[in-house]
Amino acid sequence: MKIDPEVKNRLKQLLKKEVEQKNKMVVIKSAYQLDNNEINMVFRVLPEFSGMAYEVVIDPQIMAGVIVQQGSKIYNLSLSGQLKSLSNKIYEID
Amino acid sequence: MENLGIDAKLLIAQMINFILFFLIVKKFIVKPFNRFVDDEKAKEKKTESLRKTIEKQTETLQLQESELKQKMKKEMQVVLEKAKKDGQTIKDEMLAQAQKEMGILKDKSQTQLVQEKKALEQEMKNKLAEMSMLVINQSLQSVLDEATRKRITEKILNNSKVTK
Repeated sequence: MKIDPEVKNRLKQLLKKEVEQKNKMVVIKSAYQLDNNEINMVFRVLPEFSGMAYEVVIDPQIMAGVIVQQGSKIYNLSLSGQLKSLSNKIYEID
Repeated sequence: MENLGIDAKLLIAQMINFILFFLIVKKFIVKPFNRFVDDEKAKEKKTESLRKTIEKQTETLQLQESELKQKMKKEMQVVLEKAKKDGQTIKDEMLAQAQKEMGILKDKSQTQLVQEKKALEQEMKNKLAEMSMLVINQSLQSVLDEATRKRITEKILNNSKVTK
């Protein structure tokens, strides 16, 4: 099946735009609904994201703290992350 | 002679008769008999000579047989000694080889045992860590209320140790 090149180009542009938008968007994962004070605190800790659009995603698996993601950048400031790093340290002990 | 009662003609005839008898006996009996006796003597001599030769040969043969037996015995002893020595050498070599192989096998199995032990220990440690993490996760999931979660979040953010 052949796709019309014009349609293909438009689809590509749309996809690119969506990806760019997604990349610009900061996703803050938390175990509960964060209040403004906490969100401000997140941006204070990670000033490179301040002023950017954001969305808060609730994920009870992270227990406490936050995971901040923008494009391919991920900052894990969660309790589950700290437990995971502790677990990795235990695995590494000889 | 006639007076003595001797008949000359008869005497001559008897003499001739005797001479003839003598000649005939000599020619036809004594000569062949002598020849026969000589032949027998010669045969006996020959037989004796042959017997002596055979005896000599028998003695030589016996001597040779004895020497041969001695030689064979010596050679047999040498061969036996050599075989014994070779056997011992082969036995020693085989023993050394077996000991070497046993050593290698022992080392290998010891190494394998150590490795297996290490792997088992690591696996146990991993399982323990996994279990501990699971227990901690489950406990925290059930214990943490929202206020505590908020407090922890605040603490983590204040400490701001960023893990990328």
